[in-house]
Amino acid sequence: MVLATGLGSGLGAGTAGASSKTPKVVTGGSASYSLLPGDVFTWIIPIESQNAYEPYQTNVEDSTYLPLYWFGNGSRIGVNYKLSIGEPPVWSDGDKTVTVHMKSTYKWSTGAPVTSNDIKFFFELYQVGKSKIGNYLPGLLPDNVASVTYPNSTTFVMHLKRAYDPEWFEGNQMGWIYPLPVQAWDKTSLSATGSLSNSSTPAGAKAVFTFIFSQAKDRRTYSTNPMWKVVDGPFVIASYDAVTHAATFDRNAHYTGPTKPHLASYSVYSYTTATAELDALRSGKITFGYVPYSELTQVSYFKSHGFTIKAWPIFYDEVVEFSYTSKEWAPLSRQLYIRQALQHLITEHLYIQRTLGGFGLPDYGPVADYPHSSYVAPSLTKDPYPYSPSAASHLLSAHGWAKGSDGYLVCKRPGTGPHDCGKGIAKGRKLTFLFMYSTGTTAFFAEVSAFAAAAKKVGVDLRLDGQTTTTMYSIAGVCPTSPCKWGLAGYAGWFWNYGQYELLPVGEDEFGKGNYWGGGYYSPEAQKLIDAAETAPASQAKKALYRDETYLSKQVPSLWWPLQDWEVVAAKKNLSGWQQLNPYANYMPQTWYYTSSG
Amino acid sequence: MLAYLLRRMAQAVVVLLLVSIIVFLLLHAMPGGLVRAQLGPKASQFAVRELTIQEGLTKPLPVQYGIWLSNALQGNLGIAYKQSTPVATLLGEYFVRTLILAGAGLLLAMLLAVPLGLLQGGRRNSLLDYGMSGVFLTTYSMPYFLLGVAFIWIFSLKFNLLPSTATAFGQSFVTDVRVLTLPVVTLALGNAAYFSRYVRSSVIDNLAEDYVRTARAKGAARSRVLVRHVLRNSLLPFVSAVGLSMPTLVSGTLLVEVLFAYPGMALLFWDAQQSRTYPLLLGILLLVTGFVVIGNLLADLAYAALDPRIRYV
Repeated sequence: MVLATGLGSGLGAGTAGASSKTPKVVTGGSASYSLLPGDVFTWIIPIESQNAYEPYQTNVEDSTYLPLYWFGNGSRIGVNYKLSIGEPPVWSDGDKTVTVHMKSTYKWSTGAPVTSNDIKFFFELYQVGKSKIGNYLPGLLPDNVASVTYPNSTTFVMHLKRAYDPEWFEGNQMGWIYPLPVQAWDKTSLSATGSLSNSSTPAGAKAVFTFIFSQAKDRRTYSTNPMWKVVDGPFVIASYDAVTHAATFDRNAHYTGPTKPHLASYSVYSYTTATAELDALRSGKITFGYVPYSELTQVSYFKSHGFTIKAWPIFYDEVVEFSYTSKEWAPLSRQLYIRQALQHLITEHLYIQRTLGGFGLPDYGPVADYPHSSYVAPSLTKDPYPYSPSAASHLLSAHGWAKGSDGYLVCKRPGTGPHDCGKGIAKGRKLTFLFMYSTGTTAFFAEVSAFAAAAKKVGVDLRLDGQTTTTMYSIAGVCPTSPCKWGLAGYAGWFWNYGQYELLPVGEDEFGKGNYWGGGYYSPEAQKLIDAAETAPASQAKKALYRDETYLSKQVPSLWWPLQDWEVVAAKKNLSGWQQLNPYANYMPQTWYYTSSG
Repeated sequence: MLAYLLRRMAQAVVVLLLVSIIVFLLLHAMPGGLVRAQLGPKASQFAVRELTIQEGLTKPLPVQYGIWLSNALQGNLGIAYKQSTPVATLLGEYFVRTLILAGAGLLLAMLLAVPLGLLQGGRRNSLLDYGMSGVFLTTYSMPYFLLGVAFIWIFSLKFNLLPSTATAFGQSFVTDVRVLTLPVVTLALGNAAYFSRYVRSSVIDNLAEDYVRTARAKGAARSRVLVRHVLRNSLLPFVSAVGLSMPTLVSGTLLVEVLFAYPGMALLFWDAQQSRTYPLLLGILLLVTGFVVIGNLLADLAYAALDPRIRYV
């Protein structure tokens, strides 16, 4: 981590040279932000439809609708209570009851206060519409809540069906809660006024939910629909182009939160390709954009043309999946020693330096250790299986693999003994994996090729199969019933992101029972530790989390892969306030401001 | 003529039906299906199951096609799930924009090709002819994306004269002209080079004809002979070339729209294939097929209009 940060700083220290004048903060002005290629802002409300459930959508929404709990404190992870509507929750009844006091200072742009009625409205809609909401998982919020009571206008109490680790529940469940403006939205037609009673019955709530979702799907009216003018966040939508998905947000003059925006407005732009974004950045259309990894040679150009360059590391996880459900490769994937041996062939620091230009972090478990925090077990700061072809060879030969005439390893000792190849591996079986990887980035291809070359040296045959990312979304993951033709699957720059919907890196979605993106990995021991991390009492929670993370790190359910930075930021030099980059990739325009010299 | 037209329309319907079946089968044969591609990587298995049922993907393929065809004949091409908009509505909007881009590109190409081809043909083997041939060969040899990138570098990045992307299209007429300039010129130049060669060759052939000699002998000025007599006859191969260039124009438009982020149908197609939005892909491909079929029909009709000897029965 230190190496990567140092490199990042060395490459990216974009602060201006010493100046005799202190730059003045300018109030007003407009900035423009570019989403990553292919990301498009198409959803305005903070309860997302299934196909709008993306972190970048949430980040845009969060500039207009505030979550109950805001995640990320500058560049530090965790709950930011200063920016949150809710005070720290109070747990009782053996961690089965959680009481939340809301700050009374927050108001909607109509002047109405943000109250527990807005939370009640959220739960009413969530309950009836959950099957259409992107982040819903059966058994989790709201299914794990027995009831919610509202003692007064600034308090609500959740009575849970079972005890949970408070930190897990707050980070991985309560982050989903957004107050919604009941007085403006609790209706079933635009001309009606909102009330507090339409959604109080399931049928009424369903009608309201259907209406709100239908309005949210009508992107042509984003800038004119009066519903979207009622916000509690620092900005309010001013214009939206349904074709290009470009949006402009004006400062919310009625915002009552702590970080009042300096900018008068900001715009969000989407580009299909990184090239189009780069051109827009160079021509001055974008104030806060990024330099694509394939164009890192242009970093010096941007530095000399009025831009600040800075790495944007994130609290995410990047892996290469094993297939545990493919008939052909599952027997190999299920052998721990094979997974460990392959992990010994990955040299993360070299990949970061050579292919990512230093803009990345080593990742040794379900999350990378950035920023350093108590959420990450100390064991995750060390590579559990450092690069060592000899260690890889030793592991494999100790389990009955020997090189055949073609130089590739074959199983000589089938069986299930401690020194045998393992269950389901026949004698003479070649140690081969079909490694499906997403095409389109030279950096990732270089990493994949280096890994395959290292594997070849020890006798492991990694057959590379490039596919588009879209294809891989469909066929990598848990194998469908149709032929599953991959043993390893790696995505360029696709991360397992933590953030507003998942704070604690327990790994329940990635590696827990019924996972999809863990390749179908399942281990009773891992599941026990995951469950323990979710339900441990507060006094035991950290230990449970660390046990879970450490176990997963050592078990290598997926190959740990270098985590590339979210982006290499290129921002206009006179734009400031953004430098404490949110580790959940939330760009937070309310912190931005222009400066003028002296 | 009416019988001919009716026959061609009937052929067009058969072609469209066949294309729809082929495309439908190909799309569904793509590995992995559309659900995960549409929902993205964060989608839970629960969400995947819900959308699979909603989209009718559990039904047998012929049944799915039948449902789609039945709806399509009633004007319902389905919903583009990602945009939450009827496909027909999207096609209507985006097709108009692509028509503007492709139409402007084609028009500019023709406006350049005809007079320049005529000029070259009339001054065959002159310095002007050689010079222009060299320029046209260069622009013809350059793929669209290379031409486009070169224009962006010069006009947007180096001299900041024109925008590098066309995302601002639709704001005002002045803005539209500015943002469309580079994409239109990119599309036009390669095609102009291609068309002008046809015009040039045809002019050269026609200049050797008896009627030209007769006109000159009667005292008609060279320019008048070229414009009033030779040009019309020289346009026949040019019209064929324009008709045959429709598929290339369509593919060129795709590249140009992606390069300049122009919000047209080609870019919509690009997004749709990335996200496996089957209804949208089907709708676009059928529309493009129809466009090509009609384009060829119009070319044939133009042929007849230009040459009275050609009559269809």
